[in-house]
Amino acid sequence: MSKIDIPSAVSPDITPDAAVHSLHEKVSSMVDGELSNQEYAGMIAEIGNGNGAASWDQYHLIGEAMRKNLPDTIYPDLSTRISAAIASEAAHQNEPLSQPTSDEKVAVTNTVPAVSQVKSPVLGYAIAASISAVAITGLFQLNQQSQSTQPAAQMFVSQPPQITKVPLLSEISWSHEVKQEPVQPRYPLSPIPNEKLYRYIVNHNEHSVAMPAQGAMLPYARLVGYESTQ
Amino acid sequence: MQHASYRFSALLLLFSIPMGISYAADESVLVKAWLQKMVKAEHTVSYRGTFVYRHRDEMVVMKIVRARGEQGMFEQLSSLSGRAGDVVRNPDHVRCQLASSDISLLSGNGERMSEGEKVLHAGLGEIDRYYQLSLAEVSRVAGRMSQKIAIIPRDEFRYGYHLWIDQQSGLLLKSAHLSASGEVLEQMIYSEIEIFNNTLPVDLRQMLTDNVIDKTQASLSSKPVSDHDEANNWVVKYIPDGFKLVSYQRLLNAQQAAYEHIVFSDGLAAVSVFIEKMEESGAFNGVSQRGVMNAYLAAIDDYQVVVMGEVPLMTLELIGQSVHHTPVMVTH
Repeated sequence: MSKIDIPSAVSPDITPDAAVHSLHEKVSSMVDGELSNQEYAGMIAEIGNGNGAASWDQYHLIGEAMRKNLPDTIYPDLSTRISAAIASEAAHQNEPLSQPTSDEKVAVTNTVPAVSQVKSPVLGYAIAASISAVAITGLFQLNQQSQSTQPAAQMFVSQPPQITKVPLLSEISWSHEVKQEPVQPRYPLSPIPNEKLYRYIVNHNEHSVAMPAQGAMLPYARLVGYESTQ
Repeated sequence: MQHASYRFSALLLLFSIPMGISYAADESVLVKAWLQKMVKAEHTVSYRGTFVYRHRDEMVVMKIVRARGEQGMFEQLSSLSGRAGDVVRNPDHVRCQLASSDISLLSGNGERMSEGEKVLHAGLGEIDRYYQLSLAEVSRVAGRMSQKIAIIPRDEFRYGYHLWIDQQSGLLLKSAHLSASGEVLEQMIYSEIEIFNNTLPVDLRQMLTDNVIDKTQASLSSKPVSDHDEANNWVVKYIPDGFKLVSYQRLLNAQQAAYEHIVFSDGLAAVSVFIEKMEESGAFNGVSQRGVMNAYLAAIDDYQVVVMGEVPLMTLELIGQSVHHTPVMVTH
């Protein structure tokens, strides 16, 4: 179980175990949306101070699992490890959360698996032995229409805006037959100074904020969020 | 009896397939409608709130205020945890005061928002070719009932999204950016939000009248270039299917040097290509990341090329490596 700092607001009369349990309860309520706005704001402050962050992740995971909101794909080795851990534990069978569809197979048990490490950041925290958890195993087959590894390509040839005085350019030619193998990623970090990089980012953000799925100011929240944690 | 059972099952399957296709099409239409509602709300609704932004293991609490005035939307974003950071935007100016830099930019974003809306309406019609759209459950976020929608990419060149949209106002209350494999890369969730319908509180009205950004202090500006010294025909040979040209501008930076800014979008994600003359100190290579906003930098001949957007690095590298130029043949 990851160490959780006891919040400073906890009464000294409360024992450490009880304080941790109280914090867990509050985090659980927070994930389930059962706190008042004032309580919610207080918990957000605690998480911002580092308290309860691990619990927030765990209960968020549990809540998402129970609402079947986990990512569509689950790494096979995770499934295998959870299955092995369950097999070695005294299992308490529960009713399944939902009837399995034809595309998914889900086995839900109310037990305490000892999963030590998973690949996904959302699942990247150990499920504590003292916290009852829901173990999710299964495979989910994505129903994608096309899985082309050689994507169709388009070509863009720049033309200057009409307001500028430029020579005439050749017509744009679009080719959908150009095939290109995906380049193996090579990702060394760029030493570009923040001042320079942010100039590009701000210019990009002024187009990106107009895109759906971004929300107002989310592109800038990334910038502020990165700077705040450096 | 067994043959009749098989025949019945076959008929049932035969009729259920079109119904399944019809249901999928209807669901796609509903998701687009929710996205339209969300975009409209972002442009029209005044509110303030507190949200948690999370990228991988890092978590920051932020405060946001957005107030709509006669000239457009005024916005302020501040970090409440970690190092201080502040972003202020109005319809024609944005200023980012961060721990490591202070950037002030005359952006003309008011016009660009309306351009984005046009692209949005045109682009949304085709996004289900590149993303699988589905409705999920209704749940409470920040005390408000929200509709969850899932947007799953059909290829590895885009990210996916889970969005929780307030049923009443259309505002985005919670979001998650996902990799093609379903890994959660970034999350945002409101802990509290106060929405204003018609009457703004005194402090928000004050924000509209103060015009908090001093334009004279703008250290950077981008303005269209009226003439240019060099004529180059820039070619971006590879763009993933579905991405279309949104904008192409030839601008001047604060050093009065011209640069190209090309923007592509598939209706949900935007990719920018910046091309400018290399500085005497040379060009920067490599990658950079801020949340799910990735950047790929490379030198092409004497030019610095920067490709950035909310798409996987692989996509940016493919685009960036396909950028080249040819001299323009001027005929008299």
